Amino acid sequence: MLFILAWRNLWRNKRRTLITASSVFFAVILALVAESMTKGSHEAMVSNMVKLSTGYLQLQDSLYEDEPSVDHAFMYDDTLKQIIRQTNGIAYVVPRFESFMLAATEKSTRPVMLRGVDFEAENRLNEMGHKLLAGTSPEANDQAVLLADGLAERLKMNVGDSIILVGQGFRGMSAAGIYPVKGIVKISLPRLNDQLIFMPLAATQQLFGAEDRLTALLITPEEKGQTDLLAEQLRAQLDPQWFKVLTWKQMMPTLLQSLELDKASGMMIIYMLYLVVGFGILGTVLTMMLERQREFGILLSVGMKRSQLALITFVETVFISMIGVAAGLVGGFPIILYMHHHPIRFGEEMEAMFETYGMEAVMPFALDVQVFGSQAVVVLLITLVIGLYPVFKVFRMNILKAARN
Amino acid sequence: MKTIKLVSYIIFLLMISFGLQAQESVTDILKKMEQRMKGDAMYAGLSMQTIRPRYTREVSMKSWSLGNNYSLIFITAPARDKGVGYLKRQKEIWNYLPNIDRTIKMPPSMMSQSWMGSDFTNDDLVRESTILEDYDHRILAEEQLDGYECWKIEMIPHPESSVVYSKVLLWVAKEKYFQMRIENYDEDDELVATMHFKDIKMMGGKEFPAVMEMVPSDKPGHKTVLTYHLIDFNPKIEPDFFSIQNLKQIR
Repeated sequence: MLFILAWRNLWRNKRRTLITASSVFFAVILALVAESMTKGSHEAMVSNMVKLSTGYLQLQDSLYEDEPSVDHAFMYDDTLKQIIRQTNGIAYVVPRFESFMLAATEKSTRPVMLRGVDFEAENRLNEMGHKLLAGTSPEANDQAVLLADGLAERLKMNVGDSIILVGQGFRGMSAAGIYPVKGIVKISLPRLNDQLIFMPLAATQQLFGAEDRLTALLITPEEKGQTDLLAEQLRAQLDPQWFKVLTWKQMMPTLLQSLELDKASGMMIIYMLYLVVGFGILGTVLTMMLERQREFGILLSVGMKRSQLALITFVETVFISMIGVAAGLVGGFPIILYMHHHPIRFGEEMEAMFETYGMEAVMPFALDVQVFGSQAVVVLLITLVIGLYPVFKVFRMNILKAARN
Repeated sequence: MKTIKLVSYIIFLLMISFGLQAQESVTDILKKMEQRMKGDAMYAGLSMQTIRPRYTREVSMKSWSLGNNYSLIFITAPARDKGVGYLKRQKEIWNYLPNIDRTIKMPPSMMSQSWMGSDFTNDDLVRESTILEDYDHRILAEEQLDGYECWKIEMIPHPESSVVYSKVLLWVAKEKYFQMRIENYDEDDELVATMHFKDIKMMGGKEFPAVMEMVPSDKPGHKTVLTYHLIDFNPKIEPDFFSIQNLKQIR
């Protein structure tokens, strides 16, 4: 009965209802866009960094983190492969053998980072092949290298030239070799682009005298959100005396910190948005109360209980905000969906700046059920709190004054 | 009468000079020690054991040296590293790699790296600071070490020298003049590394410690042991022996 009354009341003054509902509607859409933008750019930042540098999870020798030397390369044997195969939630693994070396040319010697990789797995992780500038990627059993383009420039090398690599091999052995440059690749992290050399894994292990050994096994989980859980699962199965499982959060604490900071400032903006939205809705509710003072006064004087009237006004506010939130979600979804697939591109000046952070110059939007859910709930809560104002007002109303108004 | 006077005068002079000899100066001790340990030229066949918690590796080599400024090392075993050579000329190190037939000059960035996986850095090979010129020294005590009477000498490097330690303690065997132990301390006065000289025997005609152990203090289970198998203190070599040409040819 009361609900029907409240519902009818809404449509007695359509314009008023629509104005209030639409302020909720816009609030929801704004909050949605803001939140999905923060979340989207964070996701992009993380996945970019993670894919280009550490991977989501890394399996290492227990000593490698403190002293990243090839002496601490672990044996990637059948037992280990078996464990990886039998653990659920692993999409694929990327084996790496990495070490600093010296690259010598006729004129100069430069420290470089040699990364022995499985090109197929590596491409799956970061689509390295897409940025190939010249030549081709070496085959798995080639004795050849792929140079990062910044390094190639510094060494003044081209496809077809030979590069001399010298360094320390596994457990003090000498490691030296001459390899033809088979291709040149562009890496979007400038720090890496200036020093990275890729070589097939087998050739790298041979160069270092560390057959079947890896410095790190990158593990990509099927679900990115399950990274920590998967790390726990792996830790439980591996001897901590020999192995360590690290997540990207542990390997890149600075990235995590900058994300937290950015998240905090993002939250500030969203809170301010909530504040503005809240006062907007409060404004329309206030005018509504003024407009309907006489109506309420009469209703009370003809015998309606204050509690009944209060409930009706409360239900009205709930209805309005629900309409607004629902409309906001329905209206917001296509916008976010569109933006997710067609992110905003920044101009060329911005592109350079983004590149230094190793990112594509776009403003990505996250398409996440959680964002929709949380924004809807928050806006709904705000309107419910505001809905308490009419309730309070009805209980304190001076019937005579109100009815005569 | 005159002769008695003369004799007593001579006796007096002799006593003074004996007295002086008993109170031999630190500088003299160190000079004699340097002469004993390095000589002018030296040829040696030696092996180096790198001991790590997880493995032990042994490398055999031949080494030629001339004074502080020149040395040449040729690796003879293991097979994988056979033929690798190191040449030191003044402050530079050259590395010859037979499998690619190239000689590479060690860049500054590599100087702090470990030499062939041992506890010595490339810098240790080059940074031959001269004990006499770069330090202030004094005798702290006289101690017994492994059955030898030793002087314990404290050496504080001059501020302008390139020495990385803040203090070096040195034990020198009396009369024999070889080093028995060296302790290096950092700026917080903490022990960084200790070198032990052991197994003293006749080599190349003099008594000489055949084993040198390098023990870094901050890494438990890490040790590098150099063992001399033969030494010749009088090889016929000149500075031009230490050339890049020779680095490739020497066998």
